[in-house]
Amino acid sequence: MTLDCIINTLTGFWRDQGCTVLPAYDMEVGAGTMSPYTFFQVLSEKPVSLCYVQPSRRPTDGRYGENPNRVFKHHQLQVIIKPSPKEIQSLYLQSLQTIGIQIQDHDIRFIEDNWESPTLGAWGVGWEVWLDGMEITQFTYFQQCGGVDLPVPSVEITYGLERIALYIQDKLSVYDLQFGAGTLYGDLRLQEEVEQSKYCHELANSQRLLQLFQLYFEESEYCLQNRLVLPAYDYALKCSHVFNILDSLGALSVTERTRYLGKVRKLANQAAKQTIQSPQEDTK
Amino acid sequence: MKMDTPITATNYPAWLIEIGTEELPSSYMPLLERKLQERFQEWLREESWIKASETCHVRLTPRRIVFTIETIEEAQQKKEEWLKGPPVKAAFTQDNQETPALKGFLNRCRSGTYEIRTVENGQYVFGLSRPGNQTVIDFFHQQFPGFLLSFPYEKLMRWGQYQFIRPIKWVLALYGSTLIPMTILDTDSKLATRLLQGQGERVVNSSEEYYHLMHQNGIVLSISEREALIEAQIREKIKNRNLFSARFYIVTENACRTEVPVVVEALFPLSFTALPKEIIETVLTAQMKCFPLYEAETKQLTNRFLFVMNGERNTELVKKGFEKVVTARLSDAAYFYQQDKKIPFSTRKDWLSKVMFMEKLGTMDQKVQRVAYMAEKLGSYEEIQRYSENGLLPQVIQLYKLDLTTLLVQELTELQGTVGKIYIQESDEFDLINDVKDRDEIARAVEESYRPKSDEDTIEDLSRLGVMINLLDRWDTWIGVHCIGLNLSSSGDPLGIRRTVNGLLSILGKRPGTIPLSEYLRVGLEAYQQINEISFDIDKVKSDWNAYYLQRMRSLLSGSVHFGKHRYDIVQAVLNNTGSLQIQSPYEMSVKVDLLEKEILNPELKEQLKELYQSFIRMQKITNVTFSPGLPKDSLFESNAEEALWMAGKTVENEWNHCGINSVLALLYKLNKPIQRFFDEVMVMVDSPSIRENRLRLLSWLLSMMSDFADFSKIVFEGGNEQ
Repeated sequence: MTLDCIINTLTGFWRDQGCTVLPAYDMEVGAGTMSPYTFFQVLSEKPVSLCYVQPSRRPTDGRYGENPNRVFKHHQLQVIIKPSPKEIQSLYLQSLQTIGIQIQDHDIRFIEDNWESPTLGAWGVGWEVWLDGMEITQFTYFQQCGGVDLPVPSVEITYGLERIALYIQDKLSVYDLQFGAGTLYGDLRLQEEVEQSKYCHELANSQRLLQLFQLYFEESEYCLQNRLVLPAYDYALKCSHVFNILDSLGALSVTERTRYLGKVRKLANQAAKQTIQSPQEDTK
Repeated sequence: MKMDTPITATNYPAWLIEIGTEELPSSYMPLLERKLQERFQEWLREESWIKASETCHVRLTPRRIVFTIETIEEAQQKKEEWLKGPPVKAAFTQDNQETPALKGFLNRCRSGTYEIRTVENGQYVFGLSRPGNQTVIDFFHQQFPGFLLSFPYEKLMRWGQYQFIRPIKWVLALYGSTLIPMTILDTDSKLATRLLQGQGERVVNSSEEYYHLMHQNGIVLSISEREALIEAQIREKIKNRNLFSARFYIVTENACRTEVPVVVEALFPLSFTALPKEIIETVLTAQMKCFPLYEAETKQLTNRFLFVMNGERNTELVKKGFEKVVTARLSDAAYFYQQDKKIPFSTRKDWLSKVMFMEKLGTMDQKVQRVAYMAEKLGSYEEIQRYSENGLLPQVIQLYKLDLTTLLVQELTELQGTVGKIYIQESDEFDLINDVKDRDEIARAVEESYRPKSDEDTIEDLSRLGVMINLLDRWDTWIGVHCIGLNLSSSGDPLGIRRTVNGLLSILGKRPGTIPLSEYLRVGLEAYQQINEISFDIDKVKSDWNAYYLQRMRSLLSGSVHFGKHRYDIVQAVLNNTGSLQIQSPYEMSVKVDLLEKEILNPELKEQLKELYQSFIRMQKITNVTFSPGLPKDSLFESNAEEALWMAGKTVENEWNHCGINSVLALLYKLNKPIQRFFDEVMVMVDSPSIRENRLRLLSWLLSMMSDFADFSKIVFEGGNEQ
């Protein structure tokens, strides 16, 4: 089964379960959770069922295309549902069946693994799912987001698509994966990996990036002052991506690193707080 | 695979409740099984349903918590009686509302009538229990959900509007063949259970049927039985094959991740065996929870390993999967290893300033500087001097944190110290360490700087150089957290300070050393002032440090791998030594506790200890008046008994300084007779103020000397402390 077919089948499965299938968020993020579709939707009590594929950029993982498993950009399939259905684990296992993983044949286990994002002020309780020893999914019940205790915890399922495809296609290197019929992952992505790794590890201009960080940060704060949380959050994401490149360059000292992380978290926390407060503001 | 469960055909439990859950957190399961078992027994005894605790059990698999009672009366007659409930403090909130603890208690009493009574240890709520006939079904229908949900779980999660360890999927509740109706959160009890993940629901009409079903499907209910099963399968796999396995500490983890443990053998490519074996071992055990296999004779690591699968599956398919993951992880590790080796190890020094030690306490580079500062300032003490002179300790200090900058340690943090050791051994760049023996000693000490890695890890095998770097490093961390006023009293240990301090104290408990604790403290504080230029209130830091030190020692002496388990009263007596100005070392405390405990358990020796105790109490009482402190004067002695006691005291004081801590108690016994004689012949509270004060000073001086050893008044003697 090709990678595009895996994506189609899984999103189709979750659409049949009532999820709205969305396009990826069109900005750089480090993980599917950072998409505003997840970040803002989990904050309220309102039910939600969403599914989307999110390219996730992690500059420090860039390996110039030389490592078979680790890449600058990988793809996550994100499912977010609130409140969590009682049989969510069974649904998840059924979704694996649809892409040809016969669960009776395999050793599929839910291994204790709690999740935390210091940038988003978010954490959850849950598992990583092992398929014959390989971690293919993060399965989390969100407990807090943007520093706020969630009134109704959402369940978040994050499939690591490259890993699953490696398994299904029985390949050792991501670059050998069939992305679509006749198209190799390497054909589409290898050059990007080489160039992005070169950029993020060696070439990026840290002075300009620090200026960018500051500009994005100020713009985000400016939006927050005017109670425009969504534009503010977009700029917080920009900050986070610039921070990740600076980190990958090794351009931040230890104390600076903590300080910059704290700045992004502050933006995310404020955006979350304003989102929760806004309905009450409206009624004034 | 089918295995034996401990249940035989004749003793299926009469009562059984199974709570099916999403996978429980494996790291919490062993503790949870033990604590729930204790609480369950207690509860059933309090409620008079059982007399012997062995008839009820709690067993855990990753997906089920199973409560059983072997025999239980169908009903019991409840008399009307007043039952002691929660303390008032726990029963009401600040605005006088009933707490869940009180509500739960009143629910158990079933009458709603209660009153507050003052008893020996404070104010408690007492509730009147309703009389009448109560059936098993009624009781558990009403009370079991409350019991289950009110247990103080250490790991909880929220989902929907609910909270429990993990979401509940099903509840099976049986008495004989009858359903005990109950609702736990959002789940009603049913006569049904589930098998392995994805295998669906099965109807169950009796506990016999339940056990047959579990047995047929190989599901083993208790953690210890699954552990035994895994070990037996490992032994079976390597039998007669010139192989052996180690790393049995991951057996429990595997037993908590599987319901039907099946051990499978697999391979990784032979070429990886060229990697340092510690890297392979860590990938296999820490990351994958697999068991490496070694050749029995050569002890060489092979390219074979064992993993534990959950249930009978397509073994070939699962094995291929595990082999693929292990291979991918080993290739990652090999890549990091190759990358690391491109950079000369000693040049990594410059990078330490980029690695943070702890928020507010600066970088690893500063930590290394502080440790070097401490080593230099404490350089005249014997255990440091020998390694400063031959240059080994300064070299270890410069090298021991460098591996934190390697890709391997960033990826496999468990390997910190070990990677340092490997890279030092493999490196050819150290002009200074051209002696292979020195290099091995330094490399070993670098690895040992992280030992003990857990409270159970051994410390007896550490080298002296390893001990030294270890102590300096741990002292620096411990002092640092007090300098920034971190609150260490909470139950969590997010920064691992408790483990750091326990390790330090355990090493000091085994090895007396010549450096007083006060010196470590003084120099450590100075290092922070000099190198980090941070300011703090020295007296407050010292008092926080001392409080935490005593708290840790109390806990370690009360029960730990390295100090053993000691009586509470004796630990109190030793920790409470008030006479001394010098801080007692863990070694001294450990020796004293051992000595006192040995004496008190020996009927013959116990008598002299008791005599000493009685003298101590008597002197404490009599000197509990106001008088000006100071030493007694010979010229004011009026009787021989006074003179004799003074002389005996002087002798003990002199000998104390020359004999080891092991002989001090025997020395103190020499005071027994003179004290006895003093009290027989001398009246202390005489009219003459100068004579009275002189006698009080004599006793007070002796008391303070004895208190230097221990506060004897804290010791509790079997059969009473009568005087």
